[in-house]
Amino acid sequence: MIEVSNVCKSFGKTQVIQNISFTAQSGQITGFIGANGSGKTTTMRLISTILHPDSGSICVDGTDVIRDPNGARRHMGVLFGGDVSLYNRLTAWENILYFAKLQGMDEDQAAERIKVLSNLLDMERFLFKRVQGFSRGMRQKVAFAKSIVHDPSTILLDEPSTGLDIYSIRDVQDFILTCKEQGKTVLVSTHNMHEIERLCDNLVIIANGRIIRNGTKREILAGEGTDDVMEMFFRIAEGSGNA
Amino acid sequence: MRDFKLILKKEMLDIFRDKRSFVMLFVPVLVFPLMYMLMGTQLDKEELKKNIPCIVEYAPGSIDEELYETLFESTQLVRRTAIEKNATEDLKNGNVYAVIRLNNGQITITYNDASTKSATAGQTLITAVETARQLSLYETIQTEYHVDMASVQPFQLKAVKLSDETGEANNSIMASIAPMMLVMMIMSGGVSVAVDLFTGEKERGTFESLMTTQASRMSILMAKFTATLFISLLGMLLSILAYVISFLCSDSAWTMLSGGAETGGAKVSLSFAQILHLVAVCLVLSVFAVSLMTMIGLHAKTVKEAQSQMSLITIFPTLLSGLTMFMESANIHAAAMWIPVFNVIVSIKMIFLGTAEPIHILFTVLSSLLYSVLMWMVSVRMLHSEKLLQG
Repeated sequence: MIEVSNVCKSFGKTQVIQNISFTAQSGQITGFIGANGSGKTTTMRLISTILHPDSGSICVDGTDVIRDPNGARRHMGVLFGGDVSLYNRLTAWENILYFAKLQGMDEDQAAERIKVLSNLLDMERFLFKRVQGFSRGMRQKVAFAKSIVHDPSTILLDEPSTGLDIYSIRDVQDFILTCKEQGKTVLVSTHNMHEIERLCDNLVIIANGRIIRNGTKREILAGEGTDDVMEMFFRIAEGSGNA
Repeated sequence: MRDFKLILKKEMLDIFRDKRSFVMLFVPVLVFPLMYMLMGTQLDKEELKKNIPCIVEYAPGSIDEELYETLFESTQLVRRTAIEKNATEDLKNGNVYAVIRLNNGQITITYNDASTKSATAGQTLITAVETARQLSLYETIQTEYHVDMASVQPFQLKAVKLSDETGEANNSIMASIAPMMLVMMIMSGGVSVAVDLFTGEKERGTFESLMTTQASRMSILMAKFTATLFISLLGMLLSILAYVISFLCSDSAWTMLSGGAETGGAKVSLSFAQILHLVAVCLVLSVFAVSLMTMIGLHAKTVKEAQSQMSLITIFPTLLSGLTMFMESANIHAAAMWIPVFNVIVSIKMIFLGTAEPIHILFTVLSSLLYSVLMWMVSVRMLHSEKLLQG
């Protein structure tokens, strides 16, 4: 579970996150929605310990990310904004194994887990090839696998399907649903309304560094009197003066 | 420690799979010997001591013909060559190295001063004619006037090299060249690796992923630093090996660096203590250089920015060592040994000349390590700063 309470963050004189609070529950997928520059990625970076909040607290599975960042990282798998950054001269296997070991796994454990992930993400045919020359979809799958190879209870995904073809999107989304079935906490930041519709149980909508709506998808849709996620988003954004 | 080993192992694998690393490390081993062999063929002075291809002009049957035979042909100094176009053109094109014209006892030697071979050949011919003229003069005075030439000489000249007198090696040429060679190798050796391991990772986004793992930031920094230092030292060793191969392959290159054939070809030699001192100062300069590269690599936002900043740290010390190439190191105050890079340049010079005092080496080692520690502290601070990953 992710618990964000009264978090503020400024860069210089610009306050980018203004006293935000929300909870992402275990066994559920929480969609984190907002326009570009609304503070989604900064929030993700705060949760993932890359940035430190100016005030407030963030707990991941009961571990305070400010007091014990290393302990919190053990519970988290993070994939940043359309992250396809890999070591090109290493094979997909070597890339994933490297991150598995850095997350404290031993060789045998890691090898077993990579085989499982390779099967789930359909990576067998390129697992032992060097990453250089991979398509964006292939790279995204490897990046995805390297982020969650240590089987974390909490997964942060910042725009996981950006730039992927339709088959890769299906594979990634199916995998996210598998994670949910396994009882993991999944926080997905995305612009893709179809993705929200298909994956998310809960929604956190952010604009100008403030949370403007937070609840179950069903509740929010009902509250806005529509079944269409895109329409719902526009109504909330316009209603809050952030259109 | 586990993370350090793991990251270091991955970095080494990544570096050695990079074709650029092979080019950077192994090309000098192939190119330097070839370059020196080529230089050797260009500068082979032995070739210019007999059978120098020349155009010779004199009136057949005259006194000049006899003079030519005595001076040049009997000594096999000159190989007479037929004119292809005209004398000047042939000289310009390198078909011949000199044109010798004899006219009623007047000898004119024309050579191309724009060509090393022609200039050397011209000087050889002039020296030979001068010596023959002096000998002939002495002979005439002694025979005709019965004067003992030794008794009328106003003074005798004898030039003695100190190295010949003491029997010690003459390292003066190496003392001028070695600082520049070594400093250039050390300061440039790890640049491409440092750019890739620090700024490259930031630019590719893998640094961010690395920061979300359980690896401590200190072990990340240590491993990347060690990998860069290893490549920097390996590059230096391979470059030294390349020079050694060059000297073994090319006599003229060896002669050039060991004092030149004219000076008796004294051999470069270092004592065990001198070698130890040399290793110590090269090692501390490597640590200093890699600490500086680490700091720049972490600070730069893009690979391009890192490359331009790192080119400065390569150029500046190389220029400095070039400027101090002919500097007298004997009178340098020990306090000057606290100036980074300069201290290593002077130390290397002193080591080759055998004038290095323990205090010089100690100050050089201590100051270089001190500056490295300071740069490390800045790097650690940067690594813990949020700004590191902000574009």
